[in-house]
Amino acid sequence: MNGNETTAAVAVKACGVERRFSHMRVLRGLDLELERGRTLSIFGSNGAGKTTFLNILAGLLRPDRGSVELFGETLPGSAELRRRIGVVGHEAFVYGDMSAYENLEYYSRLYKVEKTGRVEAILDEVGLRAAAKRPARTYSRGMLQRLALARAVLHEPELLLLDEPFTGLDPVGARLLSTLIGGLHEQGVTIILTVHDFERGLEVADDVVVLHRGRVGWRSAQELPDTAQMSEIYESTVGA
Amino acid sequence: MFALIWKDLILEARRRETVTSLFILGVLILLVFNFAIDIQSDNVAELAPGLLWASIVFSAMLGLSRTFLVERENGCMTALLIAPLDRGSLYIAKFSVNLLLMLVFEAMLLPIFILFFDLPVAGKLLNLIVVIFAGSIGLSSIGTLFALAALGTRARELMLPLIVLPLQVPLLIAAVKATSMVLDGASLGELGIWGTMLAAFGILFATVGWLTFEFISVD
Amino acid sequence: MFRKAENLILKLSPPLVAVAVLVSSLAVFMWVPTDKALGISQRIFYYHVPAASTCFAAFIGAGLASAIFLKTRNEQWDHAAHAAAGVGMVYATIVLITGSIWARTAWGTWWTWDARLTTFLILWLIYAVYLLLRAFSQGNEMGPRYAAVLAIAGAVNIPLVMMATRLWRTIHPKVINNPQGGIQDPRMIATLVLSMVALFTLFLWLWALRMRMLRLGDRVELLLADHYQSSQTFSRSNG
Repeated sequence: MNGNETTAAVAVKACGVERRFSHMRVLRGLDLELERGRTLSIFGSNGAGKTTFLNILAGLLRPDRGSVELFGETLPGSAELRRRIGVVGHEAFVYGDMSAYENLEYYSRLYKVEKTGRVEAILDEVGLRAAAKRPARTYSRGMLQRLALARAVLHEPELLLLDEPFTGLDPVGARLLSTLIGGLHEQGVTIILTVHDFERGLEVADDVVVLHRGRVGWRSAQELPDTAQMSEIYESTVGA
Repeated sequence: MFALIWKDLILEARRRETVTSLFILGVLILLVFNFAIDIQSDNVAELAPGLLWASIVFSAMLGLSRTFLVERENGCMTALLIAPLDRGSLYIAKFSVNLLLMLVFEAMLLPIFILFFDLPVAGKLLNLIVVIFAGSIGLSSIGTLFALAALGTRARELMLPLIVLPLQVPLLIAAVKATSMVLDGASLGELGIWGTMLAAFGILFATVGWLTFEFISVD
Repeated sequence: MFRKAENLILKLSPPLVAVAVLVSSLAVFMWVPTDKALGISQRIFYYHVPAASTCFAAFIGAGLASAIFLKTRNEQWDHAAHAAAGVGMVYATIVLITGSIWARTAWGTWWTWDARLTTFLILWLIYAVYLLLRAFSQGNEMGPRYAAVLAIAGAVNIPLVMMATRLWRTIHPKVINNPQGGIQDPRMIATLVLSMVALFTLFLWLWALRMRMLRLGDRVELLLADHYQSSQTFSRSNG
């Protein structure tokens, strides 16, 4: 394998990323590398820097120091690079006064999705076809979360970032989300998600990291630990 | 970019919040001025242009501050910033939406204004519309730029008029002068420096907005 | 670079300002002849005009520094703009007050909507809002950026404001280029130059002091935040 292929196989490469908010150092030299097609779960206490790191990957924040490469392109990337990323945030990013269909239609124009029938197909995939004509404000939390996922993968991104996607979902909704994430993983999408629940996080992941005080505190080796081991590892890393 | 403009217009068409409240506020301001300064048939020609612009400017503040409020819902602003859309286009799109909404509001206000003050506008209407249009470009270019900044502060919507009102003074002066000249029967070519200033202000601040929007939208 | 400039100014300016202010005050009050037409009140002009020019320079400088700040993201430039706008505001206030006092004796009124007075009122308001914006966005990462855009817009706007208010109406005396009255006595010109030097060096001194204050304030905040963060088991930021 020559050098070029190595770079091409790497989806995310973060080197010494530092970031502060006003005067709070949130990230303090975070190093992380992730191969294409892998699913990475990030654990960490509140304030460990999980959301900040995802926001940097999404191009919403710039690091104060250090660099981030996505698919070999250094951030801040071009609009073309941003097109290859999909994001599910804490909020659904949809307009309540428009239906699911209209919301997706709007985003598909924003992302210049040319495939016909893509909106219908994705609505089927997340099981919202029947409710597609209803204004999004009438949706339940679970439906909104599915719509948010549909919105994020509408343009078939190569890198999907999910910030606490399981928060606020009932067990059925969470299982459905796990299945959808699994399906995207099968399609070769690189996925990074932040999770609080070890079981959920371990279920979908190939790799696991624990963020602590703005650095990678622990990273899984070849074998993933089980939930009980994970919880021990977490506690010894965070030192709680 | 057009998708964004279209989406904003659909939302506005569904809610009709901005234009309706702008219109009512505009009429209210005319009413307040009518009582605040005793307007008679002998001074109406002198005072009318000022009244019109005072009404437009204050109502516009309300409308402009709503621009990015739409995007606050469910964090849609974040989605816009993640989307493959350069910041300049984002600014231009929002500026266009503001301009369009402002024009709709003015189209509603103008007949009331002419009616209230019994202005003879026959033959001057087209020129009047051109002047109002030019003034609106300036107002929305500067307002769109700072609407985002204002929302980012603790004072929220209160901050926008504070920022915009002093900055738009040259525009206001030029607009009022040009309006009164047009009402006196001047052609557009006769507006001279005031016409130039109206146009220059719009172009200048639209350019500043287009160039600097990037820096205040993403960190 | 900023530290060096700042240190240099802070070292040189106190004696320089002391001498310049003393000499120019002596000139203004003891040496320069009284204007024949305007009388004794014309002497306020030696503070009014230099304050006004320094103020323009400060605001335009704040705009330039802000543009560089946006481009380079180096917060030293932001401090430079912030300090220039802040001290510029003090000077704008001096312009308004001295102008108002002079208007009372010359035109019999404290305030007239004369073009240049109006210009300064508008500038004063723009930069008052600038400082307000900074205060209101404290703790917001983007605050300095918003302020920078406002400073740029303000600087771009200065010529427009001047032109618009001048065409709108003016009764302000045109002193410098006016072949009739105005100042012709070389002693008047010398005094004006002296006052310019005095007020400008004073500005530089205040600016450098303010720069240092802003920088040290930042440092204190950072140290405090680090202290809190490390003395807590779990930190509380939004990350």
